[in-house]
Amino acid sequence: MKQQRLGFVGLGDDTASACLSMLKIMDGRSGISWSLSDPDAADVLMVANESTDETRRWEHTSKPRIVVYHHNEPKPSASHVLQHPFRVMQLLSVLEDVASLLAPTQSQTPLKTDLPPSSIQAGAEAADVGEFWDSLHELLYGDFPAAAHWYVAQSDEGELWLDARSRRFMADPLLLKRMMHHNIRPGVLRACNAPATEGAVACSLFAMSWMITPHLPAGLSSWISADSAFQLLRWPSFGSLAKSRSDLTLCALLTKKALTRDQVLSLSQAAEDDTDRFINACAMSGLMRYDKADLQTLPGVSAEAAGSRFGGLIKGLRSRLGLSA
Amino acid sequence: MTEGEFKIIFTGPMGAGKTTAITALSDQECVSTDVVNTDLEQCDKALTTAALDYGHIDIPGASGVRLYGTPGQERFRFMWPILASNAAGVIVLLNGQHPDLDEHLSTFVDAFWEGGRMPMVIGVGRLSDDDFFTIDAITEALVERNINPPVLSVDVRRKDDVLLLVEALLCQIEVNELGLAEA
Repeated sequence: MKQQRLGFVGLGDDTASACLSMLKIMDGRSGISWSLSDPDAADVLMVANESTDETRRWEHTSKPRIVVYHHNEPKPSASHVLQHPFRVMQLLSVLEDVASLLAPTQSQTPLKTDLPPSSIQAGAEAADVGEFWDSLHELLYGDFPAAAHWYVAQSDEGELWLDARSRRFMADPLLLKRMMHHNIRPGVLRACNAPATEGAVACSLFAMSWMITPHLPAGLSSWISADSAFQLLRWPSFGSLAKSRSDLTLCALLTKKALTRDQVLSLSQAAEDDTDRFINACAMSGLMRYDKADLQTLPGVSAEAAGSRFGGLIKGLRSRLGLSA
Repeated sequence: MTEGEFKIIFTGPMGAGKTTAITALSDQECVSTDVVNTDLEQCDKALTTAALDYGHIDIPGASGVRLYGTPGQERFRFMWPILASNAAGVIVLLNGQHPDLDEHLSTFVDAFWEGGRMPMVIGVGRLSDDDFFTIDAITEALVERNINPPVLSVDVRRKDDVLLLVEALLCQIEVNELGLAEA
């Protein structure tokens, strides 16, 4: 991971403290690890908008500057600005913009790909969501991992860009909103130059997978063996995505223990289609471990056999709160 | 816990929305022990909970569900284990915009997680709808410590969001009742 140093100039203690806390949260989640340094040694400066001796000293520096201005001040004319108070996503976004200046060749050079023609170079007119799904898997987990930084999938209603390094998608927010409820059918992912993503928003790999899986053919994806034992590494971030009680039960069950598909179906009493969709989306987003099942180590518990201290109360509580039956 | 009793704890720092969440669920007016907030640096609100909040959901044929809100300030930490004793589960509420978010996360998760024996859900408020990043970062920071509760973006002013937290907690309680050994 690339290391970069960030220096603060003239920022108040509260702003600096919030920023440091956010950098701590971001650590490991971006292609760059940011650390705090003196302004003299820093690669990038975060500078207060106020004109003081300290900020004036750095007015004509060659280092990229992010000017932090208060929400009741007019927006400064600097190339990179942050309005205080700011959120983690806003800080990440401006730091990524600045980072692209520090390494211009990474995003400007035309991209080459060593990926097999079948998965990457297929025509943009392809609109079978299964092909999109397979090409995404090939890029992320195949024998020829993504050689390019950016990939694009065309759909009738717009483009989906994949940043293969951060494993995030970018798209028009209206397109993502429509994807939550409609089958948009993106085609095969193919390498492209860095897109103009102004106005686009990021979408996590899990969120994209969750929106695509309802439109895939029934069953587990072709690269997942039905004989596997499945274990969820962590709960997915559903955000505003639709999720049912059966999805929450599958999360609770599979973070607890590795289970075969049959055991999952028996214990969760979830529908087969829902279970397969859940496994497919979590596996694609790297949240699901699936290995050849070692049946001797798997539990033989059934939902009926389990004792229940709270069963009646939970049923009554769900009924009382109007939660799904 | 006596037969037919079921207790859910709401915890988290000052201003995270514990009283609001309990009020959204309770059948009776939430009983609060509010005092004047003298810690305006931590949270800019006039009143804060000093001992506990209490709400109740009536369940026909059972003694119902008790909802307890802990005080958020660490100086009242001695109250936390008292309230958590025999709880069925804990809902941790956090302010996603607070500069001390990671510190709050550690404080409240460490206080209630009980090595994974206590079913837990973490609700993070004040995030934009598309801010999956903060939720992912919090989740992964916990997973690195072998702590794996659901982390959900919520606005506790919306009852549906509070119900989602409750549902995620109930699903974990049910799975615990299956008696699966930890992986």
